[in-house]
Amino acid sequence: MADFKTSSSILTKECLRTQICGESEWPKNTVLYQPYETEQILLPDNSKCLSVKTFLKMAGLEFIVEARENAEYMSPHRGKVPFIKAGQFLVADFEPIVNFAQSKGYSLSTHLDEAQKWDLRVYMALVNNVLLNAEIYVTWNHELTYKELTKPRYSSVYPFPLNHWATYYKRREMLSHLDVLGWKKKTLDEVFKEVERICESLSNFLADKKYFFGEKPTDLDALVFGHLFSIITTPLLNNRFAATIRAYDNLVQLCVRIETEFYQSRIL
Amino acid sequence: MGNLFAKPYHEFNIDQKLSLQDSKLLEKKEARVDQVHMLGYSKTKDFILESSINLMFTSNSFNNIIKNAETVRKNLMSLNCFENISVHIDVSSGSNSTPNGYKVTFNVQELKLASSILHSIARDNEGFVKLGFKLNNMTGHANHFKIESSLGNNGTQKYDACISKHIPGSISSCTSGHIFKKKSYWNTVHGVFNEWGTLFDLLFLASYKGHFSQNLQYEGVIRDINMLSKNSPFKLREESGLSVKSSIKHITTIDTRDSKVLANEGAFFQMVMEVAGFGGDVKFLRNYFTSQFYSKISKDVVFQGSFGGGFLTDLGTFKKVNMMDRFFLGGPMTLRGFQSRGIGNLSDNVVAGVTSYWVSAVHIYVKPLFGMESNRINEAIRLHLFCNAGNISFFGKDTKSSFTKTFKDFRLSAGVGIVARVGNSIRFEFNLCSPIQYSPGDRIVDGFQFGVGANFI
Repeated sequence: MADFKTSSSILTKECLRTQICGESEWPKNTVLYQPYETEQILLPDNSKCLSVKTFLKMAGLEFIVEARENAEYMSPHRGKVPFIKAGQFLVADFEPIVNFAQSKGYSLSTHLDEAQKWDLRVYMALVNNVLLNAEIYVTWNHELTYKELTKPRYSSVYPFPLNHWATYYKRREMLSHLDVLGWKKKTLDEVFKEVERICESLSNFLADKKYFFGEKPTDLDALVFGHLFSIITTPLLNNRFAATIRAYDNLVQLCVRIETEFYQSRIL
Repeated sequence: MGNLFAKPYHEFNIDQKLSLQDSKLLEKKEARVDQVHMLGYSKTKDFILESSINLMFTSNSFNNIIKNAETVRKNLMSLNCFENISVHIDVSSGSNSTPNGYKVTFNVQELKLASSILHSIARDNEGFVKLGFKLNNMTGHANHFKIESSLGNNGTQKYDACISKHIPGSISSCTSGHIFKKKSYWNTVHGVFNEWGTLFDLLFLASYKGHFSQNLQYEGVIRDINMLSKNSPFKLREESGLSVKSSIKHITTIDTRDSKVLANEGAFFQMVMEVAGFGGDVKFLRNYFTSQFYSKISKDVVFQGSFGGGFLTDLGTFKKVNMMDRFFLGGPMTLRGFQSRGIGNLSDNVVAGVTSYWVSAVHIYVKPLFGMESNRINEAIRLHLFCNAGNISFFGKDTKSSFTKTFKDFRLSAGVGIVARVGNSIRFEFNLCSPIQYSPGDRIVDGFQFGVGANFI
């Protein structure tokens, strides 16, 4: 009974929170915090930051990007970047930010029917489970990449002896994350095979549509763009990761389309 | 097994006024120490003891011998090698004895090699239980090793491994090295502070007068600030994350109080200077001091006046000092009537912690059993009336105006309470406080406040 009471009080609190969220407009001066892009940020974080930024741009929400070396520690959910500060609210990670925007009345998936909404959720989970973990695997578990790229970048903001200390602990954390999900023991070939499989299914799902669900971009487009664009543009030790994705022409075209439409620039 | 330290007799022109039998005059009588015996030690090396014992041979009156014997006993105890030491003074006899010569015998009992640690201390309004073990006097050079963990009632955890060694000499010194891990909390803002660090300490102690000491310390510490709740002020959240402090600290202490907690007379002064920035990513110069002055008004009434202050200069260019370096004011042992770290507005736009502060206190202590001879209750408990004043400030470019501002709108509180002493260093306070002057945003305590700690104002 007591448990029920506490859980219900938490629920009431959460309801109240969402209600308060819902009442007001999208807060002005919303700031998105992320690590430094050129010197510090790593592939998985870069993908997530790009996904969130793309989502906010697609939804037409105003925000300012601020780079902080301790963004990962400032985040309300320690270790998760990016996070946004919207008025009094702090929200971290892609999905909570999408939900937060939805509670304010900004959503990219309102025009979808029930079946499409299921598809959206399934593909988003798939991208998060496979592409994100593959990025984490390459960044932290691939010995050569870790030594040549990850360690110098991650430790660039810290003085001695914190550079070794912080990187060691971050790596241990990421490896245990991979271990729990059963990714740690995979070989690089197996990881790329997984990436290939998800690219194939995404490519099939996209076919020759403009976006995944027709003419209008959705959350899934933002998420996929964030990941694929980062993988293609991030210089790694060899271009195998990027090449795997470049093999699917319609996915690359999707990235180009989103880039030109929302970023007014052309890298790809 | 014992050892004999003897002084060769070469002064023959000693005044022969030995016919005075009065014991009062005995104190002023010319006397010298012929022999010093050390009994009961086996492991400790001789040269460790010699430097302390040499003091005995400088005595020139009987009174002086007794005083010096006590000093030597204290110095020997401070080596942490002995469980207890008893002193016997006798007229020296035998072929080498001089007419007014004395023989002093120190009966010592050495500590066992391994012993366990279990005791309680108090610091920063928190009581700690210490558990651990230590190896005493490992090679006979007064070198010790200990591992201990302290757990506080507010959740602070500290793990500490320490090697220390005494260096004999006319100024006795002690070096020690610590490795520690500390976790502490700031509950008002849901903050957790983690520290992993090393500390090397060099302590110089003027051995003849035990109340003047200096410490030279090097501290290298990795700090982690973690804000647990989304409700923590954002300015504090911005400072969260990892940083390294590498600093050299110099501590000067003068302590002539007759008790560390409930003194009757004496003065205490401690000044800390800290320079950070030898490596690491925070650079600052930090000075702070505490002074206390005690005076006995009558047999049962003691007056205490205290003043303290601190000043921090940020020397960094890229990374700023964070809340673990800056000062906080308020708490049941410093500025009573305010919560711990309770002074200053914690709204979103204000940086937590300040770069300078001052705090002062006036106490009048009264023994609870008024007019009675000293007994246990009078020794351990006092009633007190207090008045606290203090303020915080950020020193800007215009030093003069910020200086006057610091002393203008200060915080003031007063009250009555009970002070109790537990052991030799823990002080309990239970006060009825009333903040008289404060600013909006301060977290005040208007009513009863309980405090425990070793440092107080």
